[in-house]
Amino acid sequence: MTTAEATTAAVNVDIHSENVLEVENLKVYYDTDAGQVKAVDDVSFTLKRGERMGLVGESGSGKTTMAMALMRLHKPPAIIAGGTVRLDGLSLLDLNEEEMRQTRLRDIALVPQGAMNSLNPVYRVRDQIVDGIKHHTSGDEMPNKPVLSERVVELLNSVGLDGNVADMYPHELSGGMKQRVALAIATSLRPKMILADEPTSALDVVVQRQIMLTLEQLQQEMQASVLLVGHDMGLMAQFADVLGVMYAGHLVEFAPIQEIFEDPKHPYTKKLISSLPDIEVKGQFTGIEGLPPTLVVPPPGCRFHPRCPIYNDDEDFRGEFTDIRGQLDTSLCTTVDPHLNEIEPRRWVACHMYERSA
Amino acid sequence: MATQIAETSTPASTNGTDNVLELENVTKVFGGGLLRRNITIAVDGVSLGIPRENPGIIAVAGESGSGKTTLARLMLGIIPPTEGAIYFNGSDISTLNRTDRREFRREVQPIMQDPFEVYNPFYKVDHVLMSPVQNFGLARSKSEARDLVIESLETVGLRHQETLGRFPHQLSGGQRQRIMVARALLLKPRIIVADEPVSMVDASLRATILGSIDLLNKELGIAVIYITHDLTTAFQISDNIIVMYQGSVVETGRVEDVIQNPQHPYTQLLVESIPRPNPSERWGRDMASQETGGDMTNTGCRFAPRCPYAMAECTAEMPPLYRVGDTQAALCYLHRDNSLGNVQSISDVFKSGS
Repeated sequence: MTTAEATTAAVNVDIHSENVLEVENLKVYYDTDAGQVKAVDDVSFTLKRGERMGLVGESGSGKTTMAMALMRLHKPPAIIAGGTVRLDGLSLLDLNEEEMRQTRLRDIALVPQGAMNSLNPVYRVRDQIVDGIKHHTSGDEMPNKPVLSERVVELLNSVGLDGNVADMYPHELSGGMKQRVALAIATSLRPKMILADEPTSALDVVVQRQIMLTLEQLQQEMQASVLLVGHDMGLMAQFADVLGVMYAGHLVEFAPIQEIFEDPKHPYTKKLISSLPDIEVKGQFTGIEGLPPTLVVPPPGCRFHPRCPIYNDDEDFRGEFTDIRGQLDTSLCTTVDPHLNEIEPRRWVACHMYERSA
Repeated sequence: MATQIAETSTPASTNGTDNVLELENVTKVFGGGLLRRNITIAVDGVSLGIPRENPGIIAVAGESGSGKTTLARLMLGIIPPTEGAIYFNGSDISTLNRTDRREFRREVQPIMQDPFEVYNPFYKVDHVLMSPVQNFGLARSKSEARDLVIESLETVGLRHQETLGRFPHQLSGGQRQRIMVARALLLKPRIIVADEPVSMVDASLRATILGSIDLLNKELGIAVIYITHDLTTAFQISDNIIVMYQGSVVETGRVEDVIQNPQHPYTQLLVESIPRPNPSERWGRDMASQETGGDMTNTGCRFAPRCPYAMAECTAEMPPLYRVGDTQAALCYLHRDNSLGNVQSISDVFKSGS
């Protein structure tokens, strides 16, 4: 039955499209005592096959909620209030629970934030890898025991671990090794898409580099797309092909990584990049003034305007934006929520400064 | 355990008065005993003085398990050293009387790593801010106490309307951590030991918190020990740095020297692995050497099993801390021939704080 329905859905696949993931107007809301929180509001983007996307934002910007909603792993009281998510043409939000469960790991797999806590402490690594394979393979396709054993060793080797790790328990592994096991599980069924939520946040830089390079290697070999959620712009610069920037539930900019670092369009991205510390020059350590807004009562109009250097005519930013600000009707900033527009091919930005040219 | 630093360290009495806090050949060993054969040398023979004048900001950097948090706990007097001694204003902290101990507790303030662990979930967050005010008699009235608390909250970028009166679970990790910074600020101590104060905070707020820590140092002359695994923030805010690996101080000195021109192979590996925020400067594709478990039976350099330059002597005996410049020292035999002598106390190669 599952297969039949999957086939019906597959009819809609546009074979000429190289987009693996298409997210359109995704809305994830949740109700709290204080009112409805629009954690993810009208987010759209596309990801190509084999492409690595980074998604950054402050905590509370909705980046993790959005990523989890793509797999329908968002936690209650969060609900998907609208929009579509298509994975290789398959509309994920239209699947029933069982179909969705099958799709996870097989087509879209998660590398969780703290692998330390995602592995089951009472099962050997082997059993945890086999478990995933078993639950996503139908009876007659199920490989026999020796084949499975071989597969486990192969997988462990592919993430840079020795085959004998299969017989170990999670507590016998270091943080980096656990994260490698999590990578092995996530790639065990060669998914089309890997979702990684701050996979290296608890690890030191040397191990982080090893894990990210391993993920890159696997992803390239499988031609899987990756969505890397995080807040470290350095990590994004090292890993991502394209970058999405979220602010207060909106995707405010989406662009190829090189372009966004060289020429950020949205004032928030601009601030984010100009405030990045490096080890070249000392004293370039500044933050973005102000606090992220509460999402219960977001600021009217553009949610960034209270902190926006353009709207507030910040001296440091005046030079660069003089022309464009001259044309900007700043009353729009406080009244109209800007749309995400494609101002150049694959350069999306949600800011009134660019509405004109759109 | 007995390194060259240990054998030649100066007695505290000679310079104890110049330093607020002084570590003399401090070693901390965990485990051991009758039934447990596995011992972990978490901190190995560290000598370090924190001067009263211009103390600056000292970063202690290293991966998890490097001993940096143990060093912090030793400095705070939370755990006693296995060997060596720690002096506060010239007196051994293990023998302080009640009054001096109280003084020590106020003057050396922690900002801990995990803002989830330090709160009692049954108390509102006001409690963690008000109790030091009451315990140390910082305010004469309730309203004065409240003003103090509000002021310190604002220094770390928190709105008091959104923090006071709440329970810990109602606040984010970032907010909780900033409350801990605010708490440390309240007491205007002489030393702040901040263990990963920004690891759970966003980049934009990170600057705010580190900025306020920096201000405390520059304006109020509070010494800051900044424990971190993040070399970029260490570079940005500190004057001097101590790089640790499995309990050993492998490299130390002026932060610009150590980070921009690292001399120990481990520091070199660390610096190379920093994710630089520049897409045109990506990591080398060659896989860096694999992490290894701590093998404490090795009597030599702890990094030798992973070191691309390891020689026979490296695994036999721990090298001394060689001075490789006016303000830089490295624990590595590669510098034996160009060494300017052995360093006794880590702070001998520190640049004085600005």
